[in-house]
Amino acid sequence: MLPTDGSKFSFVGLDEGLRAAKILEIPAVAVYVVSHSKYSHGFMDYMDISSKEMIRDMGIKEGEDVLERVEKRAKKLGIELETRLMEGTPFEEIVKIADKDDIIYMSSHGHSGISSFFMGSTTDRVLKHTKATVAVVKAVKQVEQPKDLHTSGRVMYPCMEK
Amino acid sequence: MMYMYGKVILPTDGSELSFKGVTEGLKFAKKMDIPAVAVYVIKPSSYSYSFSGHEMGGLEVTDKEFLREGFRKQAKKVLKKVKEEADKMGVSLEGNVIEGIPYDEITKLADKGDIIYMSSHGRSGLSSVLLGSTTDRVIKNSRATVAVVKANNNG
Repeated sequence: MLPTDGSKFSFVGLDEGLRAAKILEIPAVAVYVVSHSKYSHGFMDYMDISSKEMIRDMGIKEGEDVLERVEKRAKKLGIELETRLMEGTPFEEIVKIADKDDIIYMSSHGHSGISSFFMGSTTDRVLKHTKATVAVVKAVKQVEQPKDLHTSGRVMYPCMEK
Repeated sequence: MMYMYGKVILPTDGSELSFKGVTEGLKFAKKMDIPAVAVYVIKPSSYSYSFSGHEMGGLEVTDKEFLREGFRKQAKKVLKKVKEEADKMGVSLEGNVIEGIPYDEITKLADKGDIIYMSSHGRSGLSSVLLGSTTDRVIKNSRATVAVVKANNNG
């Protein structure tokens, strides 16, 4: 099971999962969940229906693009891949389709990037709620913490791997 | 045959729950055709602090040594069990007993190209937390991929 949100971070886990699937000789399923929160929460309440529809369509379009890219990658590696485009809350949808004997390959971070310092919220929630095994792949380049923040005069954050 | 991981790291604290991760990890090592390294970490706090967290001031040094020796024996027994399982499956396994803070030692043992296979829960049981504390800390601090096997996936 290979969830992706299309982000550079999420592709780190996806790639490792594809390679593992090849060696283990098991089929892979790539999943993209169009998040409902993108067009149905908070300030969006004041948005008219047609705008919401537009945002939703954009999400679906993006998901199709991402899954197409994943398919190409899988083909290159010679891996049998099924793709699924879903709508809802990402972690719930991922948990719903993963069986006990599956393995979910996920990056430690996805779209929200490194804002949640140690682990992305979707990965964290999947990990806590699924019955499947979850392989968490580190998607952030680790940066040495400065020994003394006070003398260095600045706070360092891990940066994106180029 | 290509190798995508160097080795599988299998932390265990001897609990039934932790063996779930070990078993899955051994299967993974077998399928991937890579060696496995089992590790049992003894916390210094297990033999030098009382249950309430205070230093065991009343304890003689020899008592502490006695306790420590007990933990070492226990660790070796646990690793022997893992070794037997690995031999049965035909997986090459090395066992390590380390004294230190579990997540720290586990993280140190794993190189970037390795995969750590561990249960979501260990000795402290399933209790109310969704993820055991050592597993949680390993995920957060390790550069290696961490495969978390759900210890509570029977129900």
